[in-house]
Amino acid sequence: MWEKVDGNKVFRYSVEDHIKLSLAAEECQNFLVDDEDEIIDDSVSCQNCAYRRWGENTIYCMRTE
Amino acid sequence: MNFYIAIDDTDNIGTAGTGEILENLIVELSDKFETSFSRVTRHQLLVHKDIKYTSHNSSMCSSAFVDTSIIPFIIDHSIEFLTKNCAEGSDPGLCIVDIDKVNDNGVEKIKKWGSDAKRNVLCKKDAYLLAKETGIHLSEHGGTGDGIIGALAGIGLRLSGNDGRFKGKFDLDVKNGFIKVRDILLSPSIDIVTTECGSKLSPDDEVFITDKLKTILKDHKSVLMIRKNKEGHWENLSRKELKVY
Repeated sequence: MWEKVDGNKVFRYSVEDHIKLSLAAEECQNFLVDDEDEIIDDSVSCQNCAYRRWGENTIYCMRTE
Repeated sequence: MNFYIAIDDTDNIGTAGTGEILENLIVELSDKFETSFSRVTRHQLLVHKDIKYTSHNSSMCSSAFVDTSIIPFIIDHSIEFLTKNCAEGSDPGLCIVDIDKVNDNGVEKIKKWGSDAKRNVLCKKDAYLLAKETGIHLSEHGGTGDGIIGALAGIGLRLSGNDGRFKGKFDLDVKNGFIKVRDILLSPSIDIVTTECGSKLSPDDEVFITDKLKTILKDHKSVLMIRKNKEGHWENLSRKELKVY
């Protein structure tokens, strides 16, 4: 689901691919729901994780391990 | 309102968010200075590879009616609070504006800074120049201090009256999923119920409540956005749909 680009862990698919974003979060041991005002729904998805960082057209995972 | 306060870049992953930090700060300010602050608004700024931010690059703002004579004390208290409460590794910035002391041209420049921060990469030097020119308070409190750029933008966007979402959500007395517009408007935190086209509903119209209830800042009001759902009922916009605000 992720690839390394310039040292960053970048989501390989579209940020609109909600199914893959949910699958990635479900597979992840480190999912941590973000602040209520920063999430888009109550689902377990990388879009709602405190470790994600929004890029211009993608999502980065900032979890270091 | 004559007094505006905004902060940015005060958090880090896993720490209290900037919105929560501002809410905690205005609780303290309310108690200490016996002043009532408006709800916090969140303003989305540009997401760009050359900008450092935690997750979204958003700024938080609140406002109040404040006696001008106490503003220096509010500034001191806010700086002390940020110094104690900002996350390690953050780059906090604080902006405080006494709008009565800024002329119309200055207000327009602050608003323009806000709209520019949604489209362009801005720099600290220009933020300080604008602060000096308009006579507003702008200060950094750790790290790179880049948070001043967003803090100033937060106030500009709040002053515009047409940007951002209010922090937090509302709980209303919903029956079988529906609530009348007149009952929604009993909430002190919701001023208007309207569609994206600006159509207003009658007090007896019913709205189906889905997802969490959140409002946006539109025409300086707290506005609940609605649309027709597939069943033909009025329905509030979901958090996903509100992401554009």
